[in-house]
Amino acid sequence: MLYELKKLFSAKLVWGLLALNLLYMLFIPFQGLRHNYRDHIQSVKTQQKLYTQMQAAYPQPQAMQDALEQELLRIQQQDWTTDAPGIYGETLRQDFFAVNGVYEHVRYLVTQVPHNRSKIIKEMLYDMSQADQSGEQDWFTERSNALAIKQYNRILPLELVSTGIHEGTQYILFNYTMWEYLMLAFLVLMTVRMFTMDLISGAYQMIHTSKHAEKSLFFRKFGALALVALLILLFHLGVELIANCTILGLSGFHLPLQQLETFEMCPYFITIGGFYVLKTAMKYLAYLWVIGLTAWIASVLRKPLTAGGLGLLLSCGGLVVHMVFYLRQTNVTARKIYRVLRMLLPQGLLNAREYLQTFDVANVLQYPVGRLQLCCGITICSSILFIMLAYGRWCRIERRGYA
Amino acid sequence: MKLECKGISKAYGKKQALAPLELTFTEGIYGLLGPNGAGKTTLMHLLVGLLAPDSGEILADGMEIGKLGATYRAKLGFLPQEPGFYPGFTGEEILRYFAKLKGIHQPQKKIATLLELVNLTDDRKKKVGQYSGGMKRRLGIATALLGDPALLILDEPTAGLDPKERMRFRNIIGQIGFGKIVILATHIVSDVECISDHCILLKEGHCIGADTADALKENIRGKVWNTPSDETEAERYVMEHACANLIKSDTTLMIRSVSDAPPFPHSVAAEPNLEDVYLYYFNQSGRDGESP
Repeated sequence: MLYELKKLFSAKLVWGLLALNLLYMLFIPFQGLRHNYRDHIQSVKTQQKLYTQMQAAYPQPQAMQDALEQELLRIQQQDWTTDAPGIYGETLRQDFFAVNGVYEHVRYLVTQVPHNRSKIIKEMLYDMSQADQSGEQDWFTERSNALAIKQYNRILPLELVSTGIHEGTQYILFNYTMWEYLMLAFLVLMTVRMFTMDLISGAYQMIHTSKHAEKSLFFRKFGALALVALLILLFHLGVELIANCTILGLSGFHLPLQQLETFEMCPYFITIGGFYVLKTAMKYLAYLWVIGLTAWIASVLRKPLTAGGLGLLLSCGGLVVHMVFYLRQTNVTARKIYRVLRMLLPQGLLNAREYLQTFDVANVLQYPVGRLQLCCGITICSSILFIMLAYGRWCRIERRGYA
Repeated sequence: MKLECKGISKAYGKKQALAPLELTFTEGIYGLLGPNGAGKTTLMHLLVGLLAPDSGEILADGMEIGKLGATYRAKLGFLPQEPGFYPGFTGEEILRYFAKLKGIHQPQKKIATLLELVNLTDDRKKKVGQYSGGMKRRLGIATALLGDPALLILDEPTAGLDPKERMRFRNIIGQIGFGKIVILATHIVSDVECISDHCILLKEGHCIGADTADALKENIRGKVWNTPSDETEAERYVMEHACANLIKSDTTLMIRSVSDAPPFPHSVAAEPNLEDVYLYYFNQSGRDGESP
């Protein structure tokens, strides 16, 4: 595999593309953070300090919420927009944002989560009883309701601790689509290069008459590409985690994902750390799909330009379609199409968040199946298929009359 | 090892590159002789599995080579007409890479021996991109020899080599050829004459002769003529007959020609060599380094 990597990176162009990829990956988040870096850190520190003080003073959640409400009222009664000295932060304005932030988070954990979940369960039970009375049996709705009740009727071990702020900012900074286009294009170009370079250099004649020319070499090539994709992805994850933890104060990786407001309606039991692992794994699945697909195209066409063009069209094109319908969700038809796309297109896995924010199931033969699982299943199956097809083509080079 | 071609043929569209061929190779050195477009490279690519025959089959020890797959390729060493390498690799890295592809464990010693054999030891750390055409071909020969293959197929192995390198190559093949099948395609007759046990003559996809060099020469005994001549006569003869060699010495000019009857009354029958065989069958010159 090391030799395949060396072959892959033997051209300066490849290093240039890699550098461009990494620079672009880092440019947007650091550009965004540069302007309010100190504000973020200060804000995180103030909230964490306040949370600690409140926990010590009020061990009961409801008492803590009440106390925070009182504290918020006290600050609001003053002229909090000025730079008057604060108790928790340097100014009263900082105090307001800190108390408001902690109060909203505590209210969310103590009141909102149990209330909304209870409401959903009641509604589902009501729907089921209504269906029973009317005698109209809709198997999918019934099964779907039963599944929702099962998923939401569980006690989440949420804790009254700070898990960082500006949760939305994390997504803006590290989950932007432009880099994904670049990454997909990079993977397509690398795969095309990997699977056509032997032909272009003329080395294929000697390679394909060697003992390990088929299975072993094919999987070494695929493995080298998979390793490159994994290393870039891990680098991306590392940068994201470092920035989120140090600048945005992200913590509590062992806590349920529902600790973050964005994921209140997540039906799965998954920790914040688990979410990062899942997110990375899903992206990796999508990358492997792109590599498999492009490897097949390159093995069939054997011409870098044509194979690269088609690979880009199918990988980046899929992402474009995905994004178009994501942005047009105000339209009912577009929303329906978007749901189907999220289920069928592996590019959807590049945005794991979308699958975890709601009870997101599709009707498969009257059974509710999570779109996340469906998309993962489709991606895995089609990747295996593409890899098998690519392998078949690769091994039949001697039957293609290229000699 | 025994390699049999049973009625193999190959066409590229409407052009029949190889008519159905029946050939059997056992241990020994075989020279494939023929002009460009005779089907030599096609035959070689069929033998190494880079092409599949349109009809017929190739058997190695009685088994079809496509079915043998890696087992067959493990016994194979192949030097293509234009060996391609990765310019970013050093010569030594190329050999290590191919050793891995051939499944050779701990190849260091073998690589060092081969580099020495092809006179590339001093340039082993140099990138292949900086190699000359001759050096690349020598590296290709070393690559083909990796793993001590039982079947060695060399397509134009001496093209681009200088006379000294060509001599060295002939010696190498002479040394390592024992107990193997070595098939080399060339249009340089002297290479075949020096090292081959058997000659196969290919013309427009047909095998027009396959025998030992001596037998082929014997076939044309009495058809090779030396004619002392002057410049005017020689010039006229050459204009009229394409298959002529002019041998100049300090004082005389000799026309060497191949024909069923003596071209001049004063022509004298000469001892045939393989070049005469080439001239006789292909009606072309096959002198060293020339493209007929």
